[in-house]
Amino acid sequence: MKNKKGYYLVIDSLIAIAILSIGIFLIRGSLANSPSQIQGENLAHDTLSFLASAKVSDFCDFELSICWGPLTNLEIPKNRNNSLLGYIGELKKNGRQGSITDLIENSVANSHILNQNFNFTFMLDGSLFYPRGITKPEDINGYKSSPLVSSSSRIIFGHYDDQLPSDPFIQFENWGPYTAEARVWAK
Amino acid sequence: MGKMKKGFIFSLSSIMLVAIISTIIGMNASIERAKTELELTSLRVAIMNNYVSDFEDSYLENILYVSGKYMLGMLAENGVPAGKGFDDVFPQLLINGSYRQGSSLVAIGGSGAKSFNFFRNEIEPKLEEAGINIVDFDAELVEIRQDSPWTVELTVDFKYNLQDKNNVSAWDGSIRKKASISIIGLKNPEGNDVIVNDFKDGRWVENPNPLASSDQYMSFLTMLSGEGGYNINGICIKQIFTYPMCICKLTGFLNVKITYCCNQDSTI
Repeated sequence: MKNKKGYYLVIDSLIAIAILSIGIFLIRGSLANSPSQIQGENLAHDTLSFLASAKVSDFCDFELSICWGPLTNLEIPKNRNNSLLGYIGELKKNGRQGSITDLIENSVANSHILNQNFNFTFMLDGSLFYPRGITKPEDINGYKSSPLVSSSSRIIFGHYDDQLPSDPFIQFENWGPYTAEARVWAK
Repeated sequence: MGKMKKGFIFSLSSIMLVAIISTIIGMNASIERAKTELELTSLRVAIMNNYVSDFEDSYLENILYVSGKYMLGMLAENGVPAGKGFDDVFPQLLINGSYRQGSSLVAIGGSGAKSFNFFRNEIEPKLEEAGINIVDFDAELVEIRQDSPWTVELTVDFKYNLQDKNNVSAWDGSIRKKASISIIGLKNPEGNDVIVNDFKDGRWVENPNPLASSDQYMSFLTMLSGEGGYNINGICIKQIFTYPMCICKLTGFLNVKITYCCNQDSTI
């Protein structure tokens, strides 16, 4: 009789251990899959770094006055030494808000820079330029309920010489400083 | 009796178990809080570092170019103030947008004059947004030279002291920046319209003749510095003609060579 009791207790404890182990395993597994703060920060930082390091001269032939890739159908950059981020400043100075959104769409949103678990917004001096047609990040679906929002910011400032074909005068222009901000949040 | 003893041991061990579990959970919570605080601080420092490196790497270099070109343009268009030397006025203008005349300050270009101080004021609110205060910002012109017929090279030493609003971090930096400034697009200094080939509609344009070497023309800086004079076949002429444009026509006609850098000994 006593042996039978011991036998039940051992089985009971084994079942308890099994249930606890499965619970711990499930909790740990779900934590591993959730997006981490570091991952979000790195993505936000990488997005701006990409825009700051890619040169407009990589996407344009200035002799032929044509551009391709993310600069397709956009006006020819006035400063050939600019990065994409610098070109964004140039576009803002000239009031080409729509072109900024096009550029962000072509270079970041439609590329594979972002992990598919994350969404992205791009702001310049507090104004939202991506996604299109939205004024505040809070209005974007899923932003408020996201478990994780990371951001990275950079100061941009630049200059260019502007010469119209019909005008021999060269206008020297500078723009900025603007604050460019990329916000990345988990879906 | 035995059963009571057993129950007592069970109660004790369950109390101890609960105590151990709650201690571990409590410790974990405080470790998590400390970790979050640390992560937030390092995140803040990382954001500020981003701003500071943009300020140092890109902003200072760009403002050197913009301020340098703006001030060279102002002096080329309006001339160096009477009784003042270029070397005296230019560094003051570059930094403050004004120069000292006796006991008073003479501003050039109004409040929008693009001096270093103007750009310091422009960047200040942006840095403040990131929680950084500019404690100190200073610049010193080290060298200015004519790099090529169409570029002037400026070398400036910048010093800055930036501080985090929460006193967590500070950046004390000193860096030398160079900018090669294109003078194309600037107006020609008044009364020195010697370079007819390179001067259209009141502005400098790129010399269309690739064979033209720099020593055929007086350099832009020499013109600005007011050292004056044109070296024609080894003879330095300080004051040329009422209409200096004639010089270029003469060069074609008489086949003389004009160079700048007047040798004072040979002045006639």
